[in-house]
Amino acid sequence: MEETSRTPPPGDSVAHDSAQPDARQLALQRQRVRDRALVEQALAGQLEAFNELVRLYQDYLFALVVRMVSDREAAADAVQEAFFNCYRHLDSFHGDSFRSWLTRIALNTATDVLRYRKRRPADPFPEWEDDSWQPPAGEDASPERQALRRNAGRVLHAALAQINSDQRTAIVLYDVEGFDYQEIADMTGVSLGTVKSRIHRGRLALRELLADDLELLRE
Amino acid sequence: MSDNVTGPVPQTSINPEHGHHDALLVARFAAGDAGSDELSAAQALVEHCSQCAALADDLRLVASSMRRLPQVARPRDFHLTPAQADRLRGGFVRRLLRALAAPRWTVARPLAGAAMALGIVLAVFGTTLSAYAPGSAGVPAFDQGIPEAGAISQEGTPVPVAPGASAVAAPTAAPGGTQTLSGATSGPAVASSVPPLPSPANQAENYTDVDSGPPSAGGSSGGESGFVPASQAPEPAASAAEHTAVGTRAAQMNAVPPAEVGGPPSPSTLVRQALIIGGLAVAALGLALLLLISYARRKFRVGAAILSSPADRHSR
Repeated sequence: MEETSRTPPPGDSVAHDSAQPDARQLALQRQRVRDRALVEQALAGQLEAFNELVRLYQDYLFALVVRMVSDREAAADAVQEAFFNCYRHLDSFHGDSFRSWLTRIALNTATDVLRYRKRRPADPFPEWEDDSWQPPAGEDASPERQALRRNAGRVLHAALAQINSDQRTAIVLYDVEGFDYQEIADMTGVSLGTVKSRIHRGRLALRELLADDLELLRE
Repeated sequence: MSDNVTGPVPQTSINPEHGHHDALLVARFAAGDAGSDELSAAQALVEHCSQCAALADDLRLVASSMRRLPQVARPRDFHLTPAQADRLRGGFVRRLLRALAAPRWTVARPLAGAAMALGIVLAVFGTTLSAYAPGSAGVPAFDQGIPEAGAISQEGTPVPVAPGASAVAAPTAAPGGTQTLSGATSGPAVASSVPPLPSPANQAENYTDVDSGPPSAGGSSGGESGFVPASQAPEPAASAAEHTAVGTRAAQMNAVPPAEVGGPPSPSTLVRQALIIGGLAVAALGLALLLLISYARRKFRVGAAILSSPADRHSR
């Protein structure tokens, strides 16, 4: 499977890339300064500044939440609610990273959505059968490759949805979104060791679930 | 799709011992998280057990595949409209309540409770001080620095009158040529029964001013001044002991605090009043804050919880 269209979150384009740690730190620092300035403007009453933050983070946030709840509409509602909560409590932001703060809010909202879904079970993940929700592939991708990629994404989503939600959160934050262990520990409120344990156990569980489809991932 | 993955490891031989191998250790090794103390053991597993090696390889493949998951296109835009912003911002009261419900104001609740308790203590303390203040009903006469009252009677000199004491009683004409204090129409004789906690009003009711009236026939000591019980005032033969009691009672009556009789308040009275009023105000403020915080937390608890970490939410 070739490189897909995953858009890295703003300021985190070199996640887990140890080749240029200084460049990554510099990018993160710039991102934080920019975010703090926008938050201050938003607190001063400039809605445009807050909407700039929304523009910067809405793709990232939706991609994160949709992997947690595996339902586009529910994920969209959760992201909207997360931005509402963010705007409501913007004066509570005193942290270093707005992205981490926003991610925590989104995770909590996604958790609420998952709880709601548990209480009212419906068709679990109808989106998997819907090809239209996948982004258009690059022009160079052949129809076969596109089909393979869709298949790989589908089995990964299916496996991800079946593992423990704590493990899923940790894996999505680490493997998909590129946060480091400490950031995940801060966001989820657990120890560093717990984060690592969740990731390793989650990968083991995924490997079990994907046992028959591992060849698909090697394409 | 995979990087750092060499492809499927050929499982030429099945290791029967693999079931006993630590899969989590292999997972840590594959992720590069194995500690220095377990690194050699993990390496030995991967080198000597083909299934452990395959497991490590598969785990790396899963991780790299997750990183390449396609981005899912969002179905709509999440920008806030001005109307939504206005609704979310709310009015002053709503913002205040939301701030009180925020985690950083958690300390305000015990502080409000402490303020309420402190206010109550201050008010009670102020009230207690009033009860035992000099000149008040709660303090015995001999504690008030007026033992001279008895001696006055013995010497036949007028009882010293405390400032403002004369304002208590408006002399009125009484039968028998004496002037009684206002309201002194009846009452128990002081010499026979002394009330345990006499109040200035009671004292005023129980005594007559014999000094201001004409001397009664066979009056005691002739022309001595002081107060005697109303019931005894007309009696001509009052003993010296009776006069002693009369003098003491008169001194008690005269020792009424100036503030209570309309004179300028003394500093101690002001302090007592400040303690009571201030204590009540602090208690009321604390109670109001406590109620406000409780209401705010109930109303905006969900919003506050959104900002906490998921682990905190689980533990609640």
